[in-house]
Amino acid sequence: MQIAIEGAMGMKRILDFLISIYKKHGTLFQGKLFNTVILLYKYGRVEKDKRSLVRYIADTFPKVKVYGSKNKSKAIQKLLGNVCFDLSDCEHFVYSIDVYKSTRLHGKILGNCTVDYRKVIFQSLSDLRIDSDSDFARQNNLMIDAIIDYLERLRQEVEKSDIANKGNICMYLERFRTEKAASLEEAMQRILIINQLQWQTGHILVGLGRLDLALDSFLTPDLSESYIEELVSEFCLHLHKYYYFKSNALMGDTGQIIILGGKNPDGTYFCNTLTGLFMRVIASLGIPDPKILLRVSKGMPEPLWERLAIGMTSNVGSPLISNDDKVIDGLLDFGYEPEDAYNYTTSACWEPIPGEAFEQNNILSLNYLKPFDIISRQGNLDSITSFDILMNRYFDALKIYVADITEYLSSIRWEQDPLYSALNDSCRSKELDAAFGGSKYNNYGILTVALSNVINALHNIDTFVFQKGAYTYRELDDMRRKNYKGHEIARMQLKNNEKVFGKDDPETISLVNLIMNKTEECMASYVNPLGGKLKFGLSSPHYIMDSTNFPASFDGRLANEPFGVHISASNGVPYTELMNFASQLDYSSRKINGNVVDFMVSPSFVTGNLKKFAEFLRVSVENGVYQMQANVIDSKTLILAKADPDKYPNLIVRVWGFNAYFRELPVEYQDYLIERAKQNERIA
Amino acid sequence: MSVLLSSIQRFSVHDGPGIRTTVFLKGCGLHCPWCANPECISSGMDYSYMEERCLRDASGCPVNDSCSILRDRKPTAEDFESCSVGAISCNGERMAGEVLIEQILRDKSYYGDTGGVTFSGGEALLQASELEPVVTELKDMGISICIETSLFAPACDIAMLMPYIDTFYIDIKVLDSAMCHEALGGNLETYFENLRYVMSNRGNSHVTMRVPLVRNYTYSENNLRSVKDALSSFWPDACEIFSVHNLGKAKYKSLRKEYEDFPTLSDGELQAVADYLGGAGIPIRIIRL
Repeated sequence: MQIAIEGAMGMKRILDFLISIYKKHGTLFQGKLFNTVILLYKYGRVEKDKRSLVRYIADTFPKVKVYGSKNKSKAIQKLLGNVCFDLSDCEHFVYSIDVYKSTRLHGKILGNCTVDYRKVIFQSLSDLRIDSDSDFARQNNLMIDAIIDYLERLRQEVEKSDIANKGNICMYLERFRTEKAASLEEAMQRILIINQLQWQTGHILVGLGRLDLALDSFLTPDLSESYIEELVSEFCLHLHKYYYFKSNALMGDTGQIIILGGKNPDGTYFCNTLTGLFMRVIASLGIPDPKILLRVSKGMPEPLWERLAIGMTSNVGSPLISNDDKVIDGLLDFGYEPEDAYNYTTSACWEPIPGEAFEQNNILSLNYLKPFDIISRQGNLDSITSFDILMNRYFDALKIYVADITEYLSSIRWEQDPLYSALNDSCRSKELDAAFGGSKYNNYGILTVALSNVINALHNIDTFVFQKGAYTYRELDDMRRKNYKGHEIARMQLKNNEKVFGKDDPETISLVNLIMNKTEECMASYVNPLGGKLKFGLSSPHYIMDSTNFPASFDGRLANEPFGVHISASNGVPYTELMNFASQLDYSSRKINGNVVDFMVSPSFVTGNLKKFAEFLRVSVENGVYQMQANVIDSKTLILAKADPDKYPNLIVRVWGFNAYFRELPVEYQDYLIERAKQNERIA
Repeated sequence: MSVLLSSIQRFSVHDGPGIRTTVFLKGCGLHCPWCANPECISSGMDYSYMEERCLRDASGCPVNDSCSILRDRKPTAEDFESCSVGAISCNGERMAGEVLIEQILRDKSYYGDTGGVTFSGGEALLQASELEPVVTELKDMGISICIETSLFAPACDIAMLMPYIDTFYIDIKVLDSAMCHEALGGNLETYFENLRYVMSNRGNSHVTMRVPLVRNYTYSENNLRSVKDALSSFWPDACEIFSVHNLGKAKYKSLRKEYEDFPTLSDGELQAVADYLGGAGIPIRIIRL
């Protein structure tokens, strides 16, 4: 038994190593063997049985095919000409991905994007052809032809099948060539087709966009709510298929976000039957995927606030709330045109993307603790004798660090993307691929992590070095670098300082805003190779990934311990205080790339108090919180679920910006959720 | 003038209508064995031990030899002063009225039309003269005032705050004079006098009576009969019942106070009490904490 476990651990280590190489140099290793390893890695996250994994390799290897060509559309044509169809669980719709076949990549693929599905609902594929002899047009038309051929093959398969709705599905697939969609069912089928094509052509973290808006005109009075619900249920279940294949960094990290609701340019609020229905269906299906992001605004109708509160407490880990009154103002301030700012969706998690953009908003995470390491390496620590001197050193180090980041950003080469380009008006009119800057907007976005640790660290240094004189900066830095070995008292002092990130005291708030503004200054002059600017936000999935192998920090955190999650508070900060804090942060200009307040709520706290919880959410939005998400769960349940996963097979939790089955998370993520739930219970 | 308080709890959803800030005041004339806020009983400072903050490691702790915790005694003011890692906390703060108001106003936007501030304890009425300027100012600002009280307080204190209070939560505990005196340290006559006063001078204020159900004390046939009679006589707007909980257990441990475990009531037992008291004609709500 022990040998088997060690064997499995060894295999995991090898896979992790290969994945780390893939992340850095994936394009160099494209091929059958490497793709088999990637699939095995993904499958291995849900199947732990060693024999089953060996069987999986044996079954998978012969099926894996990678189609390459210097001409990307040609490669897509080969791919689509060869994929096999999977028509399982199809009733109203078909949805099929051949997970074994892909195209060869030569650059970093555009990911974390959401296409505007209206482009294929209100147009036919033929409408997407371009009448020009440019290379872009040739590639575009070649790809459209490939899709038409693919749909014809799919239609023939459907015709042979015993799918109940096959007559309509065949008609929809045929009509897609030359007609726009004419019914809700047809429009939803088209969305599924274009969605599966994105996954099939190697895209990751594929968003669903504003589905209630996209489908609004099809909500005719003759459709019963039960029929619409039936369609929505099957639609969501299809998207949940291939869950392990779609999951990226962790199980559940699929980026399949449905954006609902939203503020209109005239200040009114858009919602329809589908807005509440999608939330209700996701909650009742009890599946972690797709996820919901609800765009909220002061004008949102009262019943939707209650629906939102019910959704958040229904243990599916969503919706994530995005405050249009702040987000849209920020997007306008950054320079997006109103029509695009008001029509924003988000990248896989929370980073707003204005309409007409394939911006890469989640390229990497800036770790706010790194400048302290740079200061250490620079030396001359005895000269740090005041808070002002420290802050100047910190900002100088931050500048160096941001320069390194921008140098890397400029080195990225994106994979040519005829599919996304075909669905982008700007690319089509410029006849320039999205990967080469064809989109209307070509900005980059990065995320940031550990700002809460830095704020706590700065408060500590101020208290214990400059005010109390208990230590010098150098002494404290030595202790930190030695992981506080032999300095447990100092560490406890640092950990127990009452002044922390998340409290609504003016000093802390202005310190956060100062660092955010300085970060902005550091990146103000950067222009990426596509001509875009750089933006950032205070949320990042890297609070565990980047904390591994990272030294201890001045907030009393030990080496390898996780960083703070997004905008969240440690021990003892009440929810309203955290929200007041978050409402007073400056989200203007470049500081718009997702700023999520993450909090944990004990179910007993909201039981019987749903209206108060809804009111709390509404007022927080009105006060100016940018975005927020919650786990409504107690530590006891999480502990039991960790100990006996089979008893809690469907327990869903919110991780960084997505929801996932608790049992499928790595143990460090499980432990961190348990710890945060316990902290939250100490507040209550 | 300053108010002696134990803590301020923001985003309270169980202490009155809407979203509230609850101020836990120190000092209480009773000593209910099931008290969930033992840190609020004393009207002086007392000290809690936070185990998760303590080093415990004798070699690493500079106050090891003199620390009462490590020597298994109650934490003291000296421990509080000398514990450099903050493992001893002080339960009690004299907060100036204007500071308290500033704290309460921080969540003003969440109060809306129904929420506000709740003064709890301890027995909040025992600090009526300290509270009067605070509630006067809050009232001027349109903040709704709620008070959770046992009514075991001087009548003049009740009269002083009466005009400012929008919502009363009044406990009904042990209604047997001897037992009330012996187990709680309360004079039942005072309680009923005060209750009569409140009910006849309540004006538009809302009154909810709260019954903590504790086996061998409040949860007995005789006591419930007396509770029902009281409800019928005083006619509050509503009555809430709840099974006494063990949420205060950790507090007793941190204060190094002896803790008595009271078995909770089942849902069926709670419902039976609700049905019985419902006979008084007052809406009965079961609160699950």
